[in-house]
Order: sequence, then C-alpha cells, then structure tokens
Amino acid sequence: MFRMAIRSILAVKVRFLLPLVAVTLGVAFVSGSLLYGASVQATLDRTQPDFAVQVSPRVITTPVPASLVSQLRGVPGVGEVRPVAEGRAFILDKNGSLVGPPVLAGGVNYDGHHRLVGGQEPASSDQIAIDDWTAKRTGYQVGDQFRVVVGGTARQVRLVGIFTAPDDARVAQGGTLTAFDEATARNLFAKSPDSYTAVNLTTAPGTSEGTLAANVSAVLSRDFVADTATEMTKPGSDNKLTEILLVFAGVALFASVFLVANTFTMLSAARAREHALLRAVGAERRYVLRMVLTEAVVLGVVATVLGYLLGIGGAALLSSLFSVTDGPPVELRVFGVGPVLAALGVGVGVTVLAAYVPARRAGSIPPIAALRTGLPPSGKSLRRRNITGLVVTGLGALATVAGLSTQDLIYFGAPLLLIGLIILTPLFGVWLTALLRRPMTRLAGVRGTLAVENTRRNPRRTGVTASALMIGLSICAAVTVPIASVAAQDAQRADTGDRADIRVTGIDFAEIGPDTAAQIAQLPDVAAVTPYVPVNIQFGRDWLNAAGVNAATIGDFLSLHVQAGSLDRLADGIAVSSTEANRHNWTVGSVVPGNLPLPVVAIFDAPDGFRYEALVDQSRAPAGESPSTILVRAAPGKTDSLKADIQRTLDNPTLVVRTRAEYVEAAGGELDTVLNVLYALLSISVLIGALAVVNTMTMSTMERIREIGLLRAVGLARRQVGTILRLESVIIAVLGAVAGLVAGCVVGAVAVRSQGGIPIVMPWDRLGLFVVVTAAIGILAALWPAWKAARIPILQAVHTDTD
Amino acid sequence: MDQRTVAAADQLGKVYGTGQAAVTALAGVSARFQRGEFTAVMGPSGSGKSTFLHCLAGLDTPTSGKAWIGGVDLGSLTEAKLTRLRREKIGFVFQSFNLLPTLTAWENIVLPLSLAGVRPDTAWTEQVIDAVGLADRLGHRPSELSGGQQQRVACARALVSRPEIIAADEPTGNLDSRTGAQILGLFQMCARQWGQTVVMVTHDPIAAGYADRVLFLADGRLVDEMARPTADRVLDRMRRFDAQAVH
Ligand SMILES: Nc1ncnc2c1ncn2[C@@H]1O[C@H](COP(=O)(O)OP(=O)(O)OP(=O)(O)O)[C@@H](O)[C@H]1O
Ligand SMILES: [Mg+2]
Repeated sequence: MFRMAIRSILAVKVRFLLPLVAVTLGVAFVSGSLLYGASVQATLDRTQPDFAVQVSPRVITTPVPASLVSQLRGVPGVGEVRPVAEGRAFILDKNGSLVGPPVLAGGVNYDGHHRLVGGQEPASSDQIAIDDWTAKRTGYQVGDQFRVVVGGTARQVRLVGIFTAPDDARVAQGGTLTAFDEATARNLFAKSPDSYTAVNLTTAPGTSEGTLAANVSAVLSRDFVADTATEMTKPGSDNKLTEILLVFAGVALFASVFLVANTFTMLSAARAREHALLRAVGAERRYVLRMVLTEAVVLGVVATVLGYLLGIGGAALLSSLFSVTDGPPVELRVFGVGPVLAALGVGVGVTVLAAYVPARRAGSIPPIAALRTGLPPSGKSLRRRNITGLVVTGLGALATVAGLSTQDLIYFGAPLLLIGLIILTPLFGVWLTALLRRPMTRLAGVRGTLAVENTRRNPRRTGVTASALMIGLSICAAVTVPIASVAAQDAQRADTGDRADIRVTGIDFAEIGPDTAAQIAQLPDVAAVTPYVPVNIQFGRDWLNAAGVNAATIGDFLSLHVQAGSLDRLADGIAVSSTEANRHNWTVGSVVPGNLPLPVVAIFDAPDGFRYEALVDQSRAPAGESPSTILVRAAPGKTDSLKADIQRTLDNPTLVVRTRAEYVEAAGGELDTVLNVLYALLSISVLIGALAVVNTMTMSTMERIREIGLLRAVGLARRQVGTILRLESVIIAVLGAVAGLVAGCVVGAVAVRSQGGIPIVMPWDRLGLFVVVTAAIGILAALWPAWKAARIPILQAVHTDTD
Repeated sequence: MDQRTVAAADQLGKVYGTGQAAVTALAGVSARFQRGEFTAVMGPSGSGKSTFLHCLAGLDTPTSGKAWIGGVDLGSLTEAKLTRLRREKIGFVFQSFNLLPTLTAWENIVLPLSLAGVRPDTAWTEQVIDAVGLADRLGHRPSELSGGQQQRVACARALVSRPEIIAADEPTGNLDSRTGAQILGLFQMCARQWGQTVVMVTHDPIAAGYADRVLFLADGRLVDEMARPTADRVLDRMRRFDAQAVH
C-alpha cells in the first residue's frame, strides 16, 4: 500500500508540491514556536534566583533600613542574609548609546556575590564593575572611562572590574549589570547611605522556602513583604509568547487544511475512473479510502520532516526577532520529544484530516463510473450546505454581537462566524460571479465570460480555495480594527492632555533627574517649563493620584476648566478634579486629609487623557523624587531649535525629547510595531492562502487542457489564455479577501465596542491595501498556470486524455 | 435454476433518467449462461449491449428485473458482498480505460490477486501472458503501451484470477486480426478447458464466430439467438437487421 501510495504521489508529484509546501510551512511554524519556546525556557531556567526569600518594601520608594537587616538575621531558619541596593543603571557605549534593552539595565551593589573575572571590585563612587557579556559587546576594558546614567543623571565612571553573572535573569535576557561599591549603590538606589532596596535570604539547612517566608513575614511590618523565589519566577511572558505563536501556527495550519483538502478532492475527481476501475475489479470501499489516506500519510510524513527542519531555522529566526536580541547567544534546542511529536501529529494529522472527506468520496464512487466518459458530475446541490452555513453564520453572528455585553462570548462567536462563512463561500462565489458576469463580459469579452463561468463551474472548489485566503485575512482585519481604534485614541489623548511644545520623558520609564527641569529652564527660548512629579496622597484606605507641578507655569500648559477657586494660588494649596471633589465632598477651602494636608484652592474638570486627580506645587513632592514627564513651551517658532538645545544640554540617551507632533505620532504609532509583528505572523497564513489559489488554478488548468486546446484551436491567442486564467484567479482571491475582511471587521468592531469607551476607527487605508494585495496575489497565482497552459501545443491539448 | 447455470438475467430492464429525458437502454432481457459456455452479444450501436453486460456482472444496478450469479440474486447483496463477488467470480474487460496509469503492465495484470491478497499462480500467469504476447512489456506503464497492448493487458487481468465468469466489452475492438485471434482463442480455451463462462460484446462477426452462441440485441430487447455460429451466418443475420432497420 505504501509503495503504491508513493508511486501515485510521484506520478502526479507536481500536484502534491503545493500542499506539501503548505503543510511544511504549518509544521515549521508549530515546531519552530515550540523549539523557540523550549530554548527560551531553558535559558530562563538557568537563571534561577540565588536566594530563597526576598524581603522588599511594598512601595518601592520606602527604603529598607539597616535595622531590618539585623532583625532578619535573627529569624529562625535563615541562612545567608544579603542586603542589596538595586536599581536601574544604564551603560552608554562608545557611541554614547544605550547598551541592551532599557528595561533590563540593572544596577547593584558589589558584594562579592558575582565572581570577578578581571580587575577588582569597585571601591569608590566613580568606580564600577560590569558583567562580562556587556564588557564583551561594548569592547570596554578595565581602566576605560565612560558614562553611566543612574537616577536620570549621567555620571562619568571608570571600569575597574568585570564579573560573570550567568544566573542573573537580566543578563541572560540581554540586559546589563553595573555594580557600584556598597556606599555608592545605597546612595543611588536606596537614596540614603544606610538603607537598602531589598534583602535576599537563603534558607538554613533543613528549612523550606515556604517556612522561611512564613517566619520572615511574622516579623515584618506592614510596609514590607516577603516573596519566595518560586513565586517570583512564575512562568513569565515568554510562555505566553509561545502560546501566541502557536495560535498563529494553528491559523496557518487551518488554512493549509483547505489547500490539502482541495488537492485531494481535485485528484480524486481526476482519478475517479481509476478508483472506479479498482472498485470494478473488486477493491472494497475501504481499500480505496485507505489508499487515498495512505497518500495523505506519506505526504504528511514528508511535510513533517521538511517542516521540522525548517522549524529549526524558524526558531532561530524567532529568537533573533523576539526577546533575547542582545543577550548572550541562546542555545537553540534542536531536538525535543515534545516538538518532534507535535510536528508529526500536526503534519500527519492535518493532511489525513484534510484528505479524509475526499478519500471517503473516492471510496464511495460506483464502479460503473469507470465506464463513463467525461468528468464525473461535480456533486450534490449546495442546498444543504447553504442551509447549514446560514445557521452556523447566524449563530456565530448572534454570539459575536452578544459579545458586546458578555465579552467572553466573542471567543465562541468569532470562530463560529468564520466557520459559517467558510461553509457559505461557495454560495458567495455563485453570487459574486452572477454579479460579475455582465461587467466582466463587457470588460474582457468572451474571455471575461469564460473566466466567470470557470469559477462558477465548481462552486465548492472556488469556495474552499477562497476560504484558505479568507482565514488569514479575516484575522488580519480582526486585529487591525481594534489596534487602529486604540492607536487613534492614544494619539487623540496625547493630543488633548496639554499644550506643551516639547515633552521630555524617560525611555521605558527610566528616571528623569530631579534637576532636569531646572536645567531646561536655564536655556534661552524656553517660555515655560513644568515637571509632572508623581505625588501619592494617602488618607485612610483611599489615595489621590496627584502631580507636583510648577505652580507658576502650569496654567500655560493645561487648559483646565476651573469650576471653583483659582489655579493662581496653587503654591499654597491643592487643586482637585471635580470627580474627586464630588466623591469626597470637598469644596474650596476644605483640607485634603492624609500625608499631605493642604487646603483645596481649585476644583477643575480634567480633560480627556489627563491622568492626574490633583495638582500640587512641585516643592510638595518628596525630596529627590524624579518627574515622570517634563513639559516645555518654546518661544514662538523656536520649537525645533529648542529641542536640539535640550538634547545637547541634557546629553542623556535615557531621556526622550519629542516635539508635540512627534509625541502624538509616537503615541499613535506605538502599536504599529505590535501590528507589524502580527502581520508577520499572519503572513504565513496568507501565503498558504495564496498557494491554495495557485494550487487550484494549476490543477484546474490541467483538468482543462483539452478545453484550452480547443479554444486555442478556434483562435484564442496564448496571451488571451493567460487573461482568462488571471481573471479567474483574481475573482477567487478577491472573494476570499472580501468575505474574510468583512468577517474580521465585524469581529474587530465588536471587540472594540465590548471594551467600552473606545470609538471604533475603521482602518480603510489598510483594508483597501489588503484587497489590493489579494488581487495581486490572484494575478501572481495565475502566472505559472497561464505559462503552462499557453505552452500546450494545440494538437496535444486536443488529444490529451484527461478522462 | 439448474446446476450448470452460472449466471442468468431475468427480465433485466434499465432506464436512464426520468420523465421526458428517460432513455430505455434495456427493456426486459432474459438469458442464461452455462458453465463453460462462450456467448457473444451483438447488436447495433446503442442497442444496450454494454448496459446488459454491466447489469449482468453486477457493475450497474438494473431498474427492473434481476441478475443472478451462482444462484445469488445480485440485488440482494450488500455493497461489500457484491465487491467480493466481483473480485472473486468475475473478470472484466472494458471497452476503454481499463488500466491504472500508475501501475506497470504486470501490476495491472495481477491487480485482482493483489487486492484479494493472493499470490499469483506462476504457471497460469505465464501461460496467460504468453497468450496475450506481452512477456517483454511487463515493466511498462500503460501510457507506454499501444491501445491494442493496453487491451491485451486488460484481457490478461480478466483471466489471471481464473474467474467463473469473464465479461468482455469489445475486447478485440482495437486489435489487429492476429492478436485478436490470439485473445479469442484464449477465451475459447478458458471456456472449453477450464469451464469458465465467457460473455463478450462484439461488433465483429469473425469474433462472434469463436463463440458457442450469439445473442442479438436491438433497442434493448433480445431479438434473436444463434447456436454454434460461424462468421458467415452471423454476418448474414446482421444484414437482415440492417434491412429491418431500413424499413
Ligand atoms: N449513463 C447514461 N445515461 C443516459 N443514457 C445512457 C447512459 N449510458 C447509456 N445510455 C443510453 O443507453 C442506450 C444503450 O447504451 P449502451 O452503452 O448499452 O449501448 P451499446 O449497445 O453498448 O452501444 P455501442 O455498441 O455503441 O457501445 C444508449 O441509447 C445510450 O445512449
Ligand atoms: Mg457499448
């Protein structure tokens, strides 16, 4: 049976090429995702924390006093007690740019915990040691002088030591580690010479992590918490990344099911007489069924092997695309039992599943069919299928719309809607071609008529082909609509918050130095400057999210509608939003309770996107607290030169200086990266959809060699043969695109609506682009078949026995 | 039904389509076929010969009447049993499209045996292959064989499993007279020496001359029967048909 299957695959190898490619891509995607996930996991597993329990303050600004450290030494079950002073420290390379991902730039106190591999430990405030991977990629050597940014301020330092920290999660993921001497680290990170930021504890022999955590918690005040290492290394975002990748791989596989099914259906039709002959000479139904399925298994195994190999490459690509970009090279795990089994299951499973229905149909062919000439009739009427499709689509649409109120329903409704539409595509195809017949005839004469009739000839095949494209595109639309809506809202918010010309922020929430605002204010052409310093006002269980601002200039930046009182007296009191004032029954003159008792001087209506509930003068903010943002107004017409001035003066790559236009664009564009990654992932599915069109066009051209020969014999030029095929494949592609985009937009719009508050923005430009791209796919898909068809000699075409 | 009857048709009727478009291909044909009997079926084109053969051999289902093989009413058989019966008791040669294009000539010949999971009887297989004169073409695919050679492979396939009944639809239609004679001789031997029942549709009076009797069909009816035919008598009989058709 296997020999026979291999033989019959080889006999029609060209026709198995595209399904093979499709399944291979799907398998590669799955195994690549799994291999990549396993590799990342392995890297993270290496970076187990070197402590059992960590004691840290509940609010990060609370320092850990030395008294707590000595108290912890006495807790039963404690082994080593290691107080640490950690924070963020950015190393600048020889070009003055940041090294590694900003979120992973760590600064620590050097306490001998990391083994030195060169130089010595830092001993004064201008000496540092860095990890060996960072030393390697920057080329810094012991003795070099360079700058490090801590707390928003650049410091000139000298590299005195290089240590190795393979178990540090930051370093493993591409970050940097900068070690200072103990006193400097405490000053920098704990903001006081005799405090720390956390205390790492190990267990004494015989004590479990949990016991120690419980013992420690018993002695801690409310301001501190004890976390076990296990709690802190719960599966992180990378597992989620693998899951997301697998979802997209699943989508790609789903699309390839249609391609494979179509191939087997068309092959079964082409070989109906062979199967009937087998049946006539005594083969059972099961035999024919098994024969076709064996072909599917062979195809699946080949696709699995190729796909797995490709998946290894894919994992390498993924690891260069995501996360560990700059880190020490991730060891790629090439073989894993899980990935191999998954690839095999997916590769063989998908092909066999896709081939099952065609195989059954092949088996149930009556023996007498062997004796009939001509192609077997294209099958039953579409009635039952259409009714099923309408019901499923209706249910899917209902569930999707119900998702407006119960959001979870959308996860059930969207796939159902898609499946319903897939069932209905033959009907849509019939409709579309009925609509297109006249215009196409007018446009391209008899060629147009032939193209339209060809797509109508077998609505199922047209539908299945279009479905393969539809899947990828529907998801493209379903992700584009929400992201476009959110991005539009982000851009709008960035626009309405204030009237700043220039905004200075920290990269990835890096700190801005406390004196930065004052530095900017010194520059010529500055009209006004205000920082936003986060101030947390707590009273009882409640709190106010307040901002410390420059009371003198805030009026230049914010067009707040003041309901009562005046912002002029902000230096003496607090301005609260009308919402908060109503909530607490505050009026002008009431004193806001809590850690910062101030009289209310103004009650304002916060504009859209303004995220603070109260304003105070910056002098009220805790000493040394760094602003989250600095707003600047420039003298008229000086915005651009001022921006350059600020950048030059601050000379700090951890600060992002943007003009209004730039930050509005950046706010709207932040999600573009996400969208582009999603498109990259979906491109595989769309590619498989495109292959499905090529596949169908190729196979139906082969089926029609005689017809084409006849057309050529009666005077159709070669080029015109191409035109017919091109029109036909564009119709199929656009059918898939339109159905998919409509479904995707509905799902996307419902997803946006169910979030509440976000206005739906239809990304017409992108949707239009999708249609253009699919039309182009249609034209490209016909290239090869048209080339083949045009080269068929007329006589051979007429004589070819396609029966 | 007596012991010697291997197959029988009892008022076989076949109507294609319904209503206005209905075509009566067979209008009640009854006949018996005995062990070791070589029957030729003749008649004008469209007279229902192929349809008759297909219904008789369980390839197609009649719309009325019954077909019996070995005392079993084919209409009463399940699909699976009918398939088995075809595999074990009947060998077919079709008018056209007889071979699987992906298999070699040899594989096509032994296909019914492979399907049944039976080893070919080498001596008999060789004898059959010699008779059809294909010994040097066994490794070739059908596409590499001439139309006549393909037909001979099909005949060999029908013979190789030594079925009780051999049903052949114009097996010599594409052959030169020498090869045709070889195959007809083979059929004759099958009937006489091996006691197989051969039913053969043909247009060729010479081919019919090899048979033990000839059934004449016209317009879906059995119109005449001739025992121990010779080519001349058959030709004669057929001329009378043509004459009738003219009037
Ligand atoms: N599948 C079919 N559908 C409709 N009509 C059919 C079908 N098959 C055969 N017929 C009709 O039934 C009649 C008998 O056909 P059949 O093939 O049995 O003739 P025949 O005697 O074998 O002819 P020939 O010598 O040309 O092969 C013909 O009129 C034919 O048109
Ligand atoms: Mg016939």
